[in-house]
Amino acid sequence: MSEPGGTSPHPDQRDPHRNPQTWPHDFGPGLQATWRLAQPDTRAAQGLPGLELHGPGAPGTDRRAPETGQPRHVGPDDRTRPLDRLAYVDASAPRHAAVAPVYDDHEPVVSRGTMVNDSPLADPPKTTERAAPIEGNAPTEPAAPIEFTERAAPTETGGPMLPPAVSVTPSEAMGAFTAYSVGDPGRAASGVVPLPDRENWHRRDSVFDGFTLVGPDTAPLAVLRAASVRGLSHRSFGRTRQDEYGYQVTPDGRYLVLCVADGISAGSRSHQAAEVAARTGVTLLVNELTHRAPVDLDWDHTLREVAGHIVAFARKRLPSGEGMPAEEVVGWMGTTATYAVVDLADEVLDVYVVMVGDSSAWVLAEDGWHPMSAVKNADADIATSAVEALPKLAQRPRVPLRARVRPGQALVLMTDGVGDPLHAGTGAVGQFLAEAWREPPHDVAFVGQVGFHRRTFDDDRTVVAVWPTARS
Amino acid sequence: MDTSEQGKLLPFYVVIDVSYSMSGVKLDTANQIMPAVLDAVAKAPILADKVRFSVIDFSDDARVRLPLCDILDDGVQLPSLTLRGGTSFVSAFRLLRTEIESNVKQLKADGFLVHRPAVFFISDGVPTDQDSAWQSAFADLTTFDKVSRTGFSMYPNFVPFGVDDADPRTLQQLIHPTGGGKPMRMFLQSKDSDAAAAIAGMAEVLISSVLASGESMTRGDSGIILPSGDDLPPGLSSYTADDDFV
Repeated sequence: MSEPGGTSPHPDQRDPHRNPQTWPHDFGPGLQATWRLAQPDTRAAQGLPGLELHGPGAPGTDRRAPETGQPRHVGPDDRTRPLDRLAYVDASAPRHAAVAPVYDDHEPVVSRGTMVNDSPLADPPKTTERAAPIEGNAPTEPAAPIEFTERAAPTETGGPMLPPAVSVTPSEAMGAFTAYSVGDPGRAASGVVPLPDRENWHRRDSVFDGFTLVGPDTAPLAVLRAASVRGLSHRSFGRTRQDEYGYQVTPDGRYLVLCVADGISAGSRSHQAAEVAARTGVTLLVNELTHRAPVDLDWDHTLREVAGHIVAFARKRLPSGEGMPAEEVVGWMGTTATYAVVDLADEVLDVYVVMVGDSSAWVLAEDGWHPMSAVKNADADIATSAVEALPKLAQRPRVPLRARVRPGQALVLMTDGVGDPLHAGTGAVGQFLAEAWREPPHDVAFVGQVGFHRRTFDDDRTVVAVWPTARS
Repeated sequence: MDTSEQGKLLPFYVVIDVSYSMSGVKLDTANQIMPAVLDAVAKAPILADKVRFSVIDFSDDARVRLPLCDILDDGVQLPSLTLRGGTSFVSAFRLLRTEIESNVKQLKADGFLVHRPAVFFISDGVPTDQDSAWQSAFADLTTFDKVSRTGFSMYPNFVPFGVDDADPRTLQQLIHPTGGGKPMRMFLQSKDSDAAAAIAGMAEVLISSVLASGESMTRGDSGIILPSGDDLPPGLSSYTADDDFV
């Protein structure tokens, strides 16, 4: 769930109900934030926000020992130590125990608590420059009990000896996070033990983005929120998130291109197909839009190009993938893809949507959800989950679906992880999300809303939403 | 009220022969099947949210001993099977059809989507019905024409298990579907095994099918997954609809 060097998935952190305080997220390559709310914390008193950055680009990165500036050596003793004592920090311990000065005489215990160098792929720090230890920032996890169990004599009761507590400035922080759920959250919401995908250490568990697009005069044009969250089922079985999203604005600022992609579950590399569809696909469309209007796009041609990129990737990267036909590639790495081209010229956004497979596009209007395509499984005795998937395209001309989205409304693209429980948009999930997304929510709240709990719905969840801004 | 946003369930029907020939250790072992299933499901929260179980026993008549339910729900009482009479496949197939039909309709009315149900059918004897009678009842349960939409659209995947005197050629006719993307198989007590061990093995096959099906739903598959022939517990052999018996 987290970047090496970031927060470890402590067993007690797996359940947001039980440990609602931390909510790690990506902020781009190597940067990660831990969202902390309602937490007694000296940082707030010092005027620092409740966001901590970790990683190569962030101050106070904990990948090296502040004392030496050298990469922390992991010796055989570290490797042979029982995993439970090496890998996990005790999230139930008071967080203020981690304030830096307490540990001046010790190795930064947080390194020991985060399995930083246990990943064969973890990069050692490139420089020997001493990382400035920023108070309250470097050791982010109170791993003290582990360290002191080994180094110090036990107390009379035999428990770990703690250093004397430092005095903590009264907190000025406020806020709270409670996981969202709609109806019965199901046993999986609290019962699943989230496991990492041991074959995809560098693929993020969940990602999100939130920003405002502005015109040349810096007036806001539209607000975007995007989130892709690994499903409970993939967490439970130790598989990576197979959903992906992409977005890009044309160089002239006129068009916003969006994609949500859902790697088909059967393929072990489908997350890579989803990445190609979302990123390369969006870029291909942006390139097209530099010399033609959305109405003139040749969608079949562009989709064939996307399929070609997926096949090329597979041929290069799959074992014995050389010369593999698309029909075979789709079994290894297949993905749905729903693209939207959004014309930002006017405050009423002109939207063009094309979909391969069952990721859906909706307009969230004042009166509720308007699907831009037929709702699946709306009329069947026995449900099926057969979907069309890239790189295998059905041979038919693809006509884009059209919609106009006014200020007060939103364009919402989603994978079936959200689309299935939303169904026709008329039930409890539809009501919940319609209220939550009447206006652009806080970007972190948006992630939580995308990841709402509801019994049996354990698929990956991905949503990209755009709210047009009223212009004067 | 929600229309259809309750999620997708996978119903399992465990159908157990309780004719007099099932007496003794066979019945005792059969009575351990559902407790073992319950233990396995309790440890798999992803699965627990989406599987439903029903137990039907049959003899001269068939009875619903556990109506289709979430077996982890409070108040669920696992049935204790007792023996009575002969071996009427007809009664089992007829009751299955009415149960599946009413269960699926109810689940859909409650807003759920439903994977194709799976039937695990355990018998130790030959049917006391006329061949034509049980064959006709089985056809009513399993035949569906997708084009004309005639027959039983909610037909189950049917997995027969045979011990002791069960006739392989009879049970083989109960494998359904026999072809397509996911053909079912049957499981028989191995020649060198005893019936109790075979029934215990069936519980294992059932559990591993339930677990594998849960994981395969993660991979987008619909319906049940049977363990491969290499992974069988001792005491059991597995056959397809095309295998010969000599």
